[in-house]
Amino acid sequence: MSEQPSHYERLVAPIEQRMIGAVWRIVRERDDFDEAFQDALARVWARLDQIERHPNPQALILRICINAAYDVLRRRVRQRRREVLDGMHESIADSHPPADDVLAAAEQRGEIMAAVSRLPRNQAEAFLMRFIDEMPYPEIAQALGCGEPTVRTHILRARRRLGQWLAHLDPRPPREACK
Amino acid sequence: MNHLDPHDPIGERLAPHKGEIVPPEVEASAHAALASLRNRMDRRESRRRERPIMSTLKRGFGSKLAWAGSLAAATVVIILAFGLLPGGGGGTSAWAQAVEKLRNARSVTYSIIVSMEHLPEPMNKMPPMRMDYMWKEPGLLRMEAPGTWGVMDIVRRKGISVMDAQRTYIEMDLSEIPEEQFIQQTGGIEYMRRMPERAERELGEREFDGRRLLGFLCREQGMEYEVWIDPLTHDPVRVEMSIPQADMRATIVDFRFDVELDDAIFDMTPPADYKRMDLKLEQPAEKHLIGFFRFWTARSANETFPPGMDMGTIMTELRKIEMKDIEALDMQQQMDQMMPMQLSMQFVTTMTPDNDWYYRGEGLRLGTEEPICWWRPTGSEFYRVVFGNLEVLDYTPEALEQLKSIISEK
Repeated sequence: MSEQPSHYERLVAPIEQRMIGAVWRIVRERDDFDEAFQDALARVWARLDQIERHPNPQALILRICINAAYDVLRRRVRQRRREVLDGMHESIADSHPPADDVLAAAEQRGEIMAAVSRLPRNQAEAFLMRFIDEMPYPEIAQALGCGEPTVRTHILRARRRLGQWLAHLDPRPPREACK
Repeated sequence: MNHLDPHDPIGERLAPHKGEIVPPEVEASAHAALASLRNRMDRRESRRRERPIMSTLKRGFGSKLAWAGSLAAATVVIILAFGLLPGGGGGTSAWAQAVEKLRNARSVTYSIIVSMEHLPEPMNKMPPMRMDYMWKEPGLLRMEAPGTWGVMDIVRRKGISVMDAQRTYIEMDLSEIPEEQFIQQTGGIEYMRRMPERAERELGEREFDGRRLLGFLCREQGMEYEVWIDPLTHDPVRVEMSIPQADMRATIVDFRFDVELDDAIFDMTPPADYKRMDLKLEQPAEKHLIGFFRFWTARSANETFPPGMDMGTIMTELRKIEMKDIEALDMQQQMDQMMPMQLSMQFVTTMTPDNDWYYRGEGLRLGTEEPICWWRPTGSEFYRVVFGNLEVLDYTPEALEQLKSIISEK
């Protein structure tokens, strides 16, 4: 008789790459990634009982990963804001204009993530799950423990706010950008 | 290109792109961390497979020990600081929403009040003990009580407990203790956030401080707790906990949800001029009970055993025994000396009715051939019987019945 797969093989192994990818795409810096990913795994371990009982354990694990990365992101953004305010560093955008398209794209991503870090947690979570991990709505709803309509509301609100804050990144006319 | 919405410029910049790769060194670091998680999960799984009885036992300890410990003595401030414990269930929408509220809260503050008024004199003269707790995501907990405070990082399983009066602190590394035992150290918050979907039964409405609340009863491993919920907002307002056999009671009140809590209050840096103390966390066991009997009889009048093994009696009688040698020690030594008492009390107060615990040491002296107490360890077919000379023997239920009949004839 073949052995049953272990909890790890069942719950975590199939989504390893998604976990790594989700955290990486939020933080995009080696040190931040290490911190966020370690934190995420510690939270997974601490909530294992809950994860095992969850109707969609993998969605919950991904939520935990995104949350951990989001926390690191918020800390980093706050820290950078403080540094700028303290006059320790000038804004990168001011002192180092983008050298090429790659750098410009990275800075834009950074700007978007900084804006995401200002969103309320539930909106940011739903938004990141949807856009960073491309999770379907029902899965996000299960991960957040709410209904699909609520998820859609969170994401809609998040997009509206981001659309306002980041209007300069959107080449479309304002009305379309805020649809 | 992000297939979710090809016209969304923000989503397009964030979405995973075809061919985009995570840097190899990041991948490697992630896989090393995942391997560590796999090891821990595999170990946990095999422990559960091999020792379901032990696991159940530990869960039982969890609920009550920390809590019994919190009263036992200031010697184990860590438990006083972080120990508490509900678990539970529910049935109605009010219950479900209260559970949901606890699970989804980003921060919670509450107070635990330990009442002594039901205990015998002079314990009943002691004022209630109040501990204020502050918790926030992702798992930071702070406890404040007169003369002491502590902080715990539940995710990293590290903490600090500070005793201002003694100008000492204990740093805690809880990473190696079993999950069930660890949960008990989290000031009740992890239990509350993991409350089950259903309570055992509804208790109807009752008024507290002019407010009508809806009650639910839960029982777990010999412990009872009542959760009282605001019927309009469905917020948990009051949790009353008791361990009937240990005569312990506590109440959780003043819940506040999603309040702003500054990260600074969760700082675990010890005060610069305080002295560090070491505390070894152990699972309460039979050896601690025997150690406690030895400790007690060495100090009591005529080497007599304690008249009872409930917390109220021990706390009351503790004042009558000779403690000068302990009082002369420094705080670290006092804590080391008192630890067996703490653990033995935990050992006893976490017995469930199934353990059939019985104590008859009142008036008996060290060295007597009579049995002092007995219990049946969970899952065992034998009873453990402790005699006055502190020997412990296995008895079948039939042999114990014979022993009881002999005792009753005397």
